[in-house]
Amino acid sequence: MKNGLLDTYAAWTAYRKCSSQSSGASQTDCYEDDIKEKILAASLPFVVELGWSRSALGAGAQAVGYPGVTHGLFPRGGADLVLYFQRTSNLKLVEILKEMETKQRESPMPPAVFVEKALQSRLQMIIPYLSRWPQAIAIMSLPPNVPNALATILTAVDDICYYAGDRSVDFNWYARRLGVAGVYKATELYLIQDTSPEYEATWKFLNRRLAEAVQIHETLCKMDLGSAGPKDAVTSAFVTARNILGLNWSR
Amino acid sequence: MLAFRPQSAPLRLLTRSVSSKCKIEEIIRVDHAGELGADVIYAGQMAVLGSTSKGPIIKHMWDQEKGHRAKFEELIRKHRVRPTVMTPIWKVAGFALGAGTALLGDKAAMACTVAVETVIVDHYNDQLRELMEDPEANKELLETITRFRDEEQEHHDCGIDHGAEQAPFYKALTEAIKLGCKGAIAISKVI
Repeated sequence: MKNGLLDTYAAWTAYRKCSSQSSGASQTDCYEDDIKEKILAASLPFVVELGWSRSALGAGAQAVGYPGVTHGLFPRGGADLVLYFQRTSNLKLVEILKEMETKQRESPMPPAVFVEKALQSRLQMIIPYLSRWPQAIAIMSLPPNVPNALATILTAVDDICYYAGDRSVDFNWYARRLGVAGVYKATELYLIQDTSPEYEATWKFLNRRLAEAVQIHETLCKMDLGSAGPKDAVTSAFVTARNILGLNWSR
Repeated sequence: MLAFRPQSAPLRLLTRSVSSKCKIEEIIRVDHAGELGADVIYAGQMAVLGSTSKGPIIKHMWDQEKGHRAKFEELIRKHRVRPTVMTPIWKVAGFALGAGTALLGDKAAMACTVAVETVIVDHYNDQLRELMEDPEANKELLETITRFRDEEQEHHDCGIDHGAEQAPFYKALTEAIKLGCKGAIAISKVI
């Protein structure tokens, strides 16, 4: 359990460095990585036909001129392919978010609307592979793949929250990201069994979940935990205790 | 930091600049947690001693700590650092520590200040030594921490001047608080 958490965190940190805040540092020894990327990119078109599998990787390798057995480069098979897809989709998402952010400067929109649009763009990326997406979810739920799966979703929600203008520096940082991640996952599950035209039902579902999340957030804010209330309670408790103990020193 | 060393192959490919970036995130996270703690400790002291003769001194130190906290909040936003997950707990613990020691008297409150600031100054010095490996890249952080370190040292001296050493159980009290602070630092570095 503990190792799993550490793995997720490490993987997530690594993705953040390599993706959204591209440092462009690790360029040495990337020849093999280049080949891998090429094969993975070429394999995606075969996914609908062959699934997230070694066969798709083999077909992709052949498409870019390597022998089909080159899929041996990917010890985790289909999981590597899903991971590649998630990683590149997250990169695309960052581009979209940056665009949305510049647009927002001209015509401001509430954060909830921003998050809704961002989640919608991210979910639309899986629509071309929708018939095979349940398989991808299943692959990424296998224990060895869970850290990477969590890392990709955390990267996505971190970017969404950041560009939506979340600059919180306390526990809200976690609450918001977890909330958005929950909404994303729920909507994803809804999407894979949605049969409505243009996936309208999914977008309505997303809208309702976000409305609920905003409501919960507002209620919590109204309760105003952590500011004046507890402080007053503690102060008065001290005064009472001091008086009981007769420590009422002169001022 | 524990989480990064024994990792799988792709992580080892990440070069030095990334690992030092992790280091910087760790530094900003733990320092933000520390200044948040200092802020609420002084808030706790003010809640008890605010209207006594020591009030203005504590207020002055509190204002400086608020400035420190604001600066690290700004750095968190700038570097997109994850804040520590313990913030709610540190807030309660810090306030309880500040108010608790103040309740033992103004000298105990000063002893608490001395203990906390001793640990913080040491901690900042350690960080400065680490950051000096690459003084150009970490210029802003180096300057910030150096300035804050000097101010924390002033608070420490101020505490001594105001009779911290005459507090009841001075030795035991400061050692216990120092131990607590070191624990909090170790926890905030990781989570």
